[in-house]
Amino acid sequence: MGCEETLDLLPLFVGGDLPRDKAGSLAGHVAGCPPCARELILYRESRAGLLSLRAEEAPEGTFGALRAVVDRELFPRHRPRSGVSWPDEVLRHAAVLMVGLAIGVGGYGVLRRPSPAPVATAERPSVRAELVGSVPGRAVGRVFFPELSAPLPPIAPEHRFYLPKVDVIPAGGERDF
Amino acid sequence: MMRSVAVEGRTVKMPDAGEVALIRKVQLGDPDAFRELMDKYQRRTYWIAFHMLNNYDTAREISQEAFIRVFRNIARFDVKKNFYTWLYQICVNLCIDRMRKVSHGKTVDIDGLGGLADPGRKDPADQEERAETRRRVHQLLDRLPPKYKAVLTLRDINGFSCEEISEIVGCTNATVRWRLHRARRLFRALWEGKGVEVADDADVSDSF
Ligand SMILES: [Zn+2]
Repeated sequence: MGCEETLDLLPLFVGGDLPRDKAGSLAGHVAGCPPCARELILYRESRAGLLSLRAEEAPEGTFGALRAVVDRELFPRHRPRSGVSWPDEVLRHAAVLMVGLAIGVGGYGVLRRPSPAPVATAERPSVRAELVGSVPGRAVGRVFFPELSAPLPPIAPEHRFYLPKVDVIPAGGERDF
Repeated sequence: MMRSVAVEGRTVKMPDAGEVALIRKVQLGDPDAFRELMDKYQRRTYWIAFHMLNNYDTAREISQEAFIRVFRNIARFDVKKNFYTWLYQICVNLCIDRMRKVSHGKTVDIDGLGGLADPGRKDPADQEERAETRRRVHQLLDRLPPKYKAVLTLRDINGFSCEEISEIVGCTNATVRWRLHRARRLFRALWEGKGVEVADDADVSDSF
């Protein structure tokens, strides 16, 4: 391809509008011809100006207003369907209510934790006696014993020798004694 | 704020079954189906009008008019054809009619250009420079004859393929390429500040 044909086709080449074979031979010519390469740069610069318009933005509310005018003109007495049927709406509200209840019940449980029903002590006297006697408060982190909810006196260093063996401490319990 | 997005180099998209079903509902007078169709196409319609007319309010009016005409004529629309090229054709024709009524240079919306700032770029000097570039591009585009401006905005700004443009403007692919060739040469000359005679000359598309 020569300079004359290249210069003629540059306006289409710059936008990718030439068939592949022609574009290939034009690119080959431009690569070795500084005057044609300069022309290509100038076309690219002016096209970049056009491409800058792609980044424009419409004023806020443009499309809502557009749609409202068309709607009023064509369907003055028809209300748009919301896109959500009433059973969906009911289910959505029920789900929100359930989540709210779950959070409320959970929160109540957490708040009530220090003073639960007294029945636990009467039902489990042996467990209570054994653990209170050996590891007050430490080894029972995951089991709830109402008697231990009150502030405990400091553990005397000698009591530590009466701790149960490590393998009876609940999994994940403290082990840094 | 809504951003315009262009797609490079696509060919003509054929109507899919979902859209055909939607258009059939519109043909039976279903307002919700028409609203759905509008939601899908109103942004691109608006941007085509804006790039042709460079005025936010006029672009909105033209888009509204295009959709109203579409609804009133949809009974005659052949669902085997592309809805979007038909809609954009109506929009471009309305724009060209408007441009011919208004003399060149009077549609430049200088006051409305404040909304063109790119939020992704925080540097005010950079923003101002970009806004200035866009202002200048609009002014140069306004000096082009409508048929050149139409192909240039449809191809380079809105990213339609030459095949799509030939459906939208209602001429052959060769004519679109001829107009595009001529439009890019003219625009480049204007961009470089060269005084050019911009005449709405006849199409010569044999070589394209
Ligand atoms: Zn050369």
